[in-house]
Amino acid sequence: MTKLLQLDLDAIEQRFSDCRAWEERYRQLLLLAKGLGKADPALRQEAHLIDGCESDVWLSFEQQQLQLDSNAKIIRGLLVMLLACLDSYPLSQAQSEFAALLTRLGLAQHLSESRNNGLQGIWQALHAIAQGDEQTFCR
Amino acid sequence: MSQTAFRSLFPCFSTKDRFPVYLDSAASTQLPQSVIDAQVNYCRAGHANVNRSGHTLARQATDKFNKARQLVAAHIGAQAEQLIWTSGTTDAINTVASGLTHLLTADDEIWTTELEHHANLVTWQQLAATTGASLRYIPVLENGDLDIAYFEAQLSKRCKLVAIAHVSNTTGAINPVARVARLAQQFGAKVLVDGAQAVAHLKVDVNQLDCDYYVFSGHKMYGPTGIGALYGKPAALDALQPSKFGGEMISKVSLSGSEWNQLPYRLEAGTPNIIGALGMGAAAQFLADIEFSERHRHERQLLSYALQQLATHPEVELLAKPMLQTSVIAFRLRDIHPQDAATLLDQQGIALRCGHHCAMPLSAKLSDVGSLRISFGLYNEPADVDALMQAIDHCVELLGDD
Repeated sequence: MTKLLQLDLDAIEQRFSDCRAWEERYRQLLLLAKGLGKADPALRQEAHLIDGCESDVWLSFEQQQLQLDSNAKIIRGLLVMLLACLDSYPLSQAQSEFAALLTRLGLAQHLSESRNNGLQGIWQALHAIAQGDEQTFCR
Repeated sequence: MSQTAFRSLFPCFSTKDRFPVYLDSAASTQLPQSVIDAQVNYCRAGHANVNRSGHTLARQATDKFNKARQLVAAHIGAQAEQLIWTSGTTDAINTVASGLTHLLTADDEIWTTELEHHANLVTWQQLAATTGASLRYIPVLENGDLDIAYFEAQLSKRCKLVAIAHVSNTTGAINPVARVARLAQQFGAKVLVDGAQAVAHLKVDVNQLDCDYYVFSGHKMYGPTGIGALYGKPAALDALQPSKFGGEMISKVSLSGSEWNQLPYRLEAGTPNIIGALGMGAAAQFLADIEFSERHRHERQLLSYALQQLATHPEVELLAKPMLQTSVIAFRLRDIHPQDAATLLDQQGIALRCGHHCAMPLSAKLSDVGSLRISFGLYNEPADVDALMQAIDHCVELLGDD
């Protein structure tokens, strides 16, 4: 499987390392969001939708190619981070590394279950696709 | 009473930690000191079960519990024996739905509206599925009001029940429930009004509305969570078959069968939420202690100010403009996903709701990606609106640059 993203985790951490105020963190996150590329109409379909009350997330895994998208920019930024974690770690570890990363970068509020933002659903969907094969999404 | 005086009655606003600009009272209201005290004092002074034991402590608890029932009933112009304790509005609606199952057949119609909270929509979908009755909806017009003319034209004697929100939890629209009740009752239908979003803001008189059932929650009228009420006319409550069994709802039990207690106990199985009831009673007392015209004026001024500020902001789209509205506003920021906006507003200490507000059919009609919703309580002030507007500007600046 090809590498999902140009940015690796170190590069992402680097971008956030100088951020002091919350505004700067979110500016970086919104910049990261652009790394996800343009919205793909083929992906944004009901069949690929992961339910979230506040925003939509689409996921597809076809021909060993994982694609993720959201209609909310902040979630798109978080998806770039999620993909970078999947790039570096086996699935279960990627999930905990993703949580650790968000906590380190001051974005832990997005992990809260009170925000039904679709992120929890992505991990469930990924585990369902992998069916126990932790290496499914690894390079 | 001045604005600051209202706010000073709620201790959360004077905590040392920075408390958010709270604009989410339609989800749940803050508790005034008197409501906190009523619950804490009862726990401290010693607690006993109600309506059972005859000892002094139990009698004192029962007296307080009965007094709370009177206070909550009086809040909507009802008598204590017409008021059933429930765990909230959802529980009350479900009690009515399952209680009426035996009266509905496949020839009947249940009517509700397109703007309902899921509790007052899904429950009827379920009842329709169980009984074979048809579920029909009063449509919502472009501005957020109900199309009553459609309802009037379609109404027939097939209609057995109409379930309608007094106030929309998404848009704050005040629905003409008295008129709907009059129309429905001409055909012998029963009418349930979901008052969850009304009881803290309007002067509710069930006799004037003339509805058969009126349901509401403690935690949206400055009381605690986990407690609510079902009001019913005597015949309407008599018609309900109990769906929960045990405790004080029974008068006589033998191994061959049992007899039910009289109302209101017949519909209150198990030990009630005594502490919650005392809290809700104190909340009704809290509201009764403030002149309604004073509360009303404060909330009207706040609503007008917020509407005016939002309507004149170039990036704000108001999603509904109902004719009559109270304390709730639904809006969006142009080209910005509501969740992105909500995240950045939260970072700035603004507590509001984002999403579909548990009313998906209405939400989908107003906006394909959900909306932002602000809602007011007595403790809000014009400064909260100013803080919101400033935070919106900052939000637009951060999100709007590409």
